[in-house]
Amino acid sequence: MNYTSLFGYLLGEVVLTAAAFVILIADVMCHRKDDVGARNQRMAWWTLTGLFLAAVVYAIQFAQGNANFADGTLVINPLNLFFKEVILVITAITVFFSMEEPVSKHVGEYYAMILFAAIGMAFLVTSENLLMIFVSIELLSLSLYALVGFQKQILRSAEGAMKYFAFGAVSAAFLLFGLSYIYGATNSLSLPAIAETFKGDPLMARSPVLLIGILFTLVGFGFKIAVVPFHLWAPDAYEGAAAPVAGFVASGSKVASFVALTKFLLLGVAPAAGAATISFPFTPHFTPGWAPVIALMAFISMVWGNLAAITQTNLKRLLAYSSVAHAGYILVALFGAKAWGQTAIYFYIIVYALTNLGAFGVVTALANKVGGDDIRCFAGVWRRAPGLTVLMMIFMLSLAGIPPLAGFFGKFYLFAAGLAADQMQLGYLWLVITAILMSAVSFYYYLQVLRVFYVNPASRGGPISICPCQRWPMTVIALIIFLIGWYPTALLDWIQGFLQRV
Amino acid sequence: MNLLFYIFSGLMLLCAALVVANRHPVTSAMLLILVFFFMAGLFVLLEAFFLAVIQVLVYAGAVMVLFLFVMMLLDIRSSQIRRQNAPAMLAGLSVGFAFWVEFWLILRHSALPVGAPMNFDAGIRPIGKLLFSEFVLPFEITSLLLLAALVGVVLLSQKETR
Amino acid sequence: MLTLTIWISFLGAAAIALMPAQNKHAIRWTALGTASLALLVAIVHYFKYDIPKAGFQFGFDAPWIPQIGAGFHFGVDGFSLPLVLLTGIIAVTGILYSWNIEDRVKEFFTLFLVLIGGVYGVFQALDIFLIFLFYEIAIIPKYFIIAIWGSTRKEYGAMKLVLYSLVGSSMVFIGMLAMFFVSGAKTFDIVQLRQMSEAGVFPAYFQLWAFPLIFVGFGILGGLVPFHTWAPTGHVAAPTAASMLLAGVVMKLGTYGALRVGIYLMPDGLAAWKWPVALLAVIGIVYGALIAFVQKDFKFVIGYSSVSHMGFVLLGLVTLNVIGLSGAILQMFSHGILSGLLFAVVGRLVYDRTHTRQLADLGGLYKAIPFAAVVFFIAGFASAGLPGFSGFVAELQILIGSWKAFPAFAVVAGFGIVMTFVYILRAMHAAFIGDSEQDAEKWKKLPPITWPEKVASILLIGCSLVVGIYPGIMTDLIDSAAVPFIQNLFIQSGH
Repeated sequence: MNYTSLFGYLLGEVVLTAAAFVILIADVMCHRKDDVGARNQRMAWWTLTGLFLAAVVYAIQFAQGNANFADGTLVINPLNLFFKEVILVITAITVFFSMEEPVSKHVGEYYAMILFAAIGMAFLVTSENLLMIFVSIELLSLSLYALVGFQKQILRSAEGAMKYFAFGAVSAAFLLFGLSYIYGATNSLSLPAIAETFKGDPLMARSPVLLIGILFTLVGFGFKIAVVPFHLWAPDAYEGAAAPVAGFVASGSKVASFVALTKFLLLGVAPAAGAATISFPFTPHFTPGWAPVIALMAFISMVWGNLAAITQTNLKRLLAYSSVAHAGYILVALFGAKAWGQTAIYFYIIVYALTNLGAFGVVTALANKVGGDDIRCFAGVWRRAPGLTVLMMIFMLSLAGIPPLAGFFGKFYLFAAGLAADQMQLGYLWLVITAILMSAVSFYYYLQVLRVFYVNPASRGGPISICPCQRWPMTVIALIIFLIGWYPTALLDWIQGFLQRV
Repeated sequence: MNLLFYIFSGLMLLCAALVVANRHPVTSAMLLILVFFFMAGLFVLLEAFFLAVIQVLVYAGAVMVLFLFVMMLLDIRSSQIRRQNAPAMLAGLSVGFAFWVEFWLILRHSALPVGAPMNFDAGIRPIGKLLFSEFVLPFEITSLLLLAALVGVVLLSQKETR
Repeated sequence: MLTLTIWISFLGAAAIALMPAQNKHAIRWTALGTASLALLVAIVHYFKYDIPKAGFQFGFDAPWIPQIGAGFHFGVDGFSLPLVLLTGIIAVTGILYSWNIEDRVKEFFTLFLVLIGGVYGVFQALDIFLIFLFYEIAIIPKYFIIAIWGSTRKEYGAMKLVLYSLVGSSMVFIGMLAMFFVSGAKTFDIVQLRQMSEAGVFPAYFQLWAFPLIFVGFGILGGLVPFHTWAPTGHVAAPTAASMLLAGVVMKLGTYGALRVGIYLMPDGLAAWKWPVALLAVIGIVYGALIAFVQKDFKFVIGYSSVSHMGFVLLGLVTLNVIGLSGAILQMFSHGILSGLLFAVVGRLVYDRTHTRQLADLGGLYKAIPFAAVVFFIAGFASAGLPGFSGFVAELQILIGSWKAFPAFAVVAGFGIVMTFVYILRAMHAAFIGDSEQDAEKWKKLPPITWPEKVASILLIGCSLVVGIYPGIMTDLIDSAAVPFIQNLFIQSGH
């Protein structure tokens, strides 16, 4: 492959980078004197244009067939392109949410950072190479640290960014350490090549160097997907960040990280899974590998995330803990048979990202008008903003997993995938039971939020007007969630089709 | 060779521990330079001369000078910044301990493989070639990463006038 | 197309959601029209059901989510058709009794119809996944209806009810996933699973732990002791229409699910667990009746009477003979009608006028609102088992059935019936009779009974009376499903 064709395959990311440059320069050169609000809108449209062009490029690449550059550093296949499109959509929705009110007066830098983060996510989902995974995670994380700290006049924002950065830096060290050990053990960086090494060497799956490498890598990933005990940054970062940014961190970065983690575990080091089953009647069977680590992280995340969410009084913090719990649910599906587990995770992460984005959209639209993002501030907004209340109901119930919304089927499929691993013995039933019971617990706090929104006596004040740039994306998300909930096969067929064409 | 490895890594670990334990920031920074030097020594043992040189030039030279510069500018009194936080220390130690237990369990349950030494030429020329062929993509993304970091730092460190 | 009942309800809900909120009257009439239309569909299909042919009729089967083997499979048999009919009746009368709601009318009827649609769905679905889906759809509107329009610790009652139901449904969820994988067929279709169950794909040890999971999971919503405590608090907190729905149909979702998924697919599990379950049912009968006797709040009396009567249903279900099973289904129908009526009297006819439910404060209402007193008298005694009404037939069948299976329990259950007469009489006396001058003065200015209330009450009494005088119109239908089911059971287990 030569540089020209590489450039062709990278065109989407190149467009995004160019858009970021244009925004940075245009903001400084041409619009310095303008009013912040107007600048914000103009820059948002520039960003959207860039995102749209990149989406078109990816769409064209769908037709062109697969490609693999230099040991999986860049893998073009329908699945990866699909996820790139998902990330573009998420980024675009974030931009729409930020359009009405500038997060800070540095609007050019804000949108450029969002684009840099999007580029990092795009590279993360498209590579099957350890080095690329690390570099793109770093690009993604660095942009997000800055985005979280953007509201410089607010102390909480700085605190959130600082915590996010400190945890991120440490976990990056873990990740790099782990990846280098895996490289040392397998002598290759690309995930398919790593999987290949297991075939020749039966002892490889139990090689201590490899296992230590995997353990450290999982710590790094655990930070990105915010599972207990690496979740501590999440509530503070979400609370400190502006609502659209928090939504972006909770959706886009989650999608990209989960896709990378799933590929790493299921494509790369699947044979080193080990086991963490408890078969009927109560015969525990634990062997070293990533399975016990993931099972443990999933278990604590589900329990702690849900219990901690109950006590929260701030809506963003509540969503942060709920995202910790959801990360736990998703990990359960990793034990599924490869195809099933992958489908379930990809399905759920998309649904989850959209739903969460919608919930943060509601916070964005309302927080300033009801005087804060504490849950009690939203008391009785149903009369002032009936449409948003209905939307919030859809998002919360989907997160809680109530049919006929997409979150229900997503969870159902995740848990079914968790059981599919060891079907006749139902070895992972213990984890699935935890998941199901804890999601019953989660209804409590989702309903508490809805109670405040919808049941409490109507609050005073006139109707709240919502910018169309926020209303429409949220409405579309809600519709998608509803439709996928009734007919999940549509999305499942897509994902399964893409998986076959990998 | 083996003896040198143990000397270098032993001294490196010692210095690294002192970096953490020391209460004076400037002394810590100096110790960190020592850590980098010993690490460069390890690279030399692996015959990765280029990396060793870069390690000294970039880290021990440029980065550390910057560190010291910032410290002098900020003029932080050592007593102000180093307060012992017992619970945090305990938590950190217990996490570290958990990792050691995990290490120990893994090592106990499986045999260490005897890997063949890898043969590669770690000179400037092959590294340069690799950087612009096989690893051109990570290399380019790193430049983007630096840009993002740059913008972020300028933005966050700038004083808000209004 | 009996499934129309589901879609009509959902469409009605959507239509109301799109109507302007100020137009309260149009909203009420739309809701009433929707519910009546659905009831009409149900009635038409009741007459179209071919009893000699039996089995699942009015079926509809379409692939839906092939990835998990879930299909859009609907159909009714003699077990579910009476319950579909019941849902229609309760929906119509519930709307009539809610005519006086003035606050957030639009939201009330939207949620109400969504709930109704979900209930219709559960009774008609023939796919466990689909049953589960509709079951959960029915849970959430209940929360909002109770928490917004309820009374007396409404948010607590609503949350308790929802959490109990959700814990129950989690147990069902675990059980159904386990069945899905253990059967090895990767399907949720009840008809197929039933065939496989007859072929013995569910090993005995599996049924031993999966059956109680599913039975108790559904049983929580059916008021199974000791998981019944949500029922009285939930019923009391709910507004009238919601308590009617809760006691009338939602509790039946639980017992129906326990029958359709639990007993139907894992009869060996029931055979192993029938004694403990029967014991719990009998405890429910007696305990509910005793607690109802000492209640000070009028609505709590009815709330605990529901627990007691649902005990009869559970007892009938586990007798494993035709007459007991058939009695259990008939009791579901009968209790649905009668408890709906009782809650309507207490919540709508009395409480909405007097604004107190304390039996000590009531009394002498007979003179002020004689209609309410008569309705309560009829409904109370009918539910206790007065001959001529549906309750008598159902309870008699259950007693005969349980006499064959567990004679000792039958005797205790008979004692429960006596207790019912006692607490109904007590409540009757305290609320309506007590004839001091003071009371008569106090209730002088009560608003008169309105036409929707009269229509609804007469409708419900009529239903109970018809079934009581000529039980064949229900029992023939029910037996068409119960007889083959019990026969298969015995062929299979070689008795």
